[in-house]
Amino acid sequence: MNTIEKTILVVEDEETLLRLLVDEFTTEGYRVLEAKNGVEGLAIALKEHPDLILLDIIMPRLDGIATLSKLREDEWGKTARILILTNLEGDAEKTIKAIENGVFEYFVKSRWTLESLKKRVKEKLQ
Amino acid sequence: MNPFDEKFFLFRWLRKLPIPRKLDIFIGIICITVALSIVGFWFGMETLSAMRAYVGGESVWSKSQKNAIYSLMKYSLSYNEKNYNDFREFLKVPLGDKKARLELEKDKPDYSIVREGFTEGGIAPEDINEMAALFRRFRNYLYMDKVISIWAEGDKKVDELILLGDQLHTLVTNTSNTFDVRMAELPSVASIITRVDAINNELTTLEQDFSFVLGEGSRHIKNILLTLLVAAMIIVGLIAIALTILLSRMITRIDRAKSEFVSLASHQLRTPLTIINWYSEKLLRDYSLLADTKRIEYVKALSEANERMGNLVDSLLSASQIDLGKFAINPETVDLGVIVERVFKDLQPQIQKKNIKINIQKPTSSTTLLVDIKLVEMIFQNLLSNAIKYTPDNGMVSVTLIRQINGVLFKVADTGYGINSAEQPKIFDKLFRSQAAQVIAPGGTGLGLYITKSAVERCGGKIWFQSAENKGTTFYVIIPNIRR
Repeated sequence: MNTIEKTILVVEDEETLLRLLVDEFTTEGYRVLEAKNGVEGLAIALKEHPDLILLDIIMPRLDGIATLSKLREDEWGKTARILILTNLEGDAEKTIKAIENGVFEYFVKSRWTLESLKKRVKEKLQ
Repeated sequence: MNPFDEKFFLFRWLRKLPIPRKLDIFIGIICITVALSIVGFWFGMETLSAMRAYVGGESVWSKSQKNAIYSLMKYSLSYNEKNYNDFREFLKVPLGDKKARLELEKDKPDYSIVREGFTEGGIAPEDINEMAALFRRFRNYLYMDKVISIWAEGDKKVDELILLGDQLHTLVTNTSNTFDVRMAELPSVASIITRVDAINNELTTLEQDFSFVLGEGSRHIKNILLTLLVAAMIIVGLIAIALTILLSRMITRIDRAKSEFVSLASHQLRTPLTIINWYSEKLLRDYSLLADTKRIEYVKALSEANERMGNLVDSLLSASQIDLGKFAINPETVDLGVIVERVFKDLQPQIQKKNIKINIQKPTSSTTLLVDIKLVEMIFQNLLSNAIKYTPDNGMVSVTLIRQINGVLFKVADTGYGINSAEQPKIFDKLFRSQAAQVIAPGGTGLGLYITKSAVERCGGKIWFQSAENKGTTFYVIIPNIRR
């Protein structure tokens, strides 16, 4: 599998989900970085320049949308690949903001299996 | 000057009020304005109608007085007793009115005499009550005082007229009706008639004054009425505009709150659901590849998510039951101290784990109340578990019960993380979670304090708090006795 050099950053405040995502993507051979809120996530992203960021929306300190806006202010961050992974659905304002920031992949966690999420991540990284 | 300036206490105060209170105030102002204008209008119309009756009365009075003088003049020439009798008959009208006036000027008038007087004065029976009421209400001010003094002046002239009539009558009846005698009396008769003529002119002036002052008074009242009605229309119109704005804002806010609630509630429900989905998927797929420690970790995550889901569903159900008012109150007599101890007993594992010191202070007087035990337990359970959850290890939670006239004040103070002042206004909102709470207890529902507040309100009590970041929070709850 040609994934060894790819790095994924998972920004997720729900520790149980974070643990599983880290386990799952590590097993798949990715280098996985983790952050429990937007502030941590932003710092790691700007330092490590991961190939893909899985970004949650509702988080303490700095929510996903604010993190995204700040990320887009950075030269590297402007083109960073981001996938929103949330359980917030039906919040039009947040969805519009995500699209305005160039993120068109807005996944509702509970509607996706781990397997299909893994597949989508793999496609995104190819 | 801008009336909506924040400097004005009234507007500052109004701005701070919650929308339902604003609605109550606005509707109250409309009701009071409408009621006042109806009463004012009715009162004004009655006054105007009474004034009109006085004008009518004056016209009858004036005609009778003129006829009386005309009869007296005729009498002075004809020496015919019938003319004198006519004179007396015509004067009955001013005398009747005078009788009514004198009675109405007394502290406690006899209204049967007033009615009798006005009837003799040729006043329509339907007008008498209004006229008497107007006289009594305004006899000392607002044009009516002037009207009455002119009227009294007129009555004095009539009295003089009667005296002159009597003099003429004595002159006529005491002498024989021969040409010579009448010629001899002519200077006396002429002097009487000259005075009668002067009185007639004086009375004409008084009558004109009387009508003029009444006209002034009614114009004044008409102006007051118009001002009152226009002011009422402006107030009602402005409030109606404010109400419309307020209602449309309220509807927008309710709509937004509803959709925020649905999206937050679904987020809260989906999180444990995702944990259950993904962990069970992982276990089913990779079971044989996983180490024992991992398997245990995953099953534990499943069990915790399941418990969290259960708690959330329970809390959502309690919240909606309370919201819909379907939470039936079941009054029972219970010592609140006993409930506090019971709740602490249930919380022992958490208390021991964090080594939190518990301090309970109860008054010497009884803390037994007639309450709904389930609601009170819900309140204590939420506040005490929060205090423990949001207090760092080795901290302290103090509970004080204070007996009040018709209830008990329950106070929970912790040495915890406190609530950020910017977030304080929102802590009772449905599904709101403070930033700190999201970090300290990620599994929380954001419903605990909402349910607590609703439960306190359902009990007829009050809840408030004081908090300082990193110092602690104190919640105060007043739980009243249920009135049977």
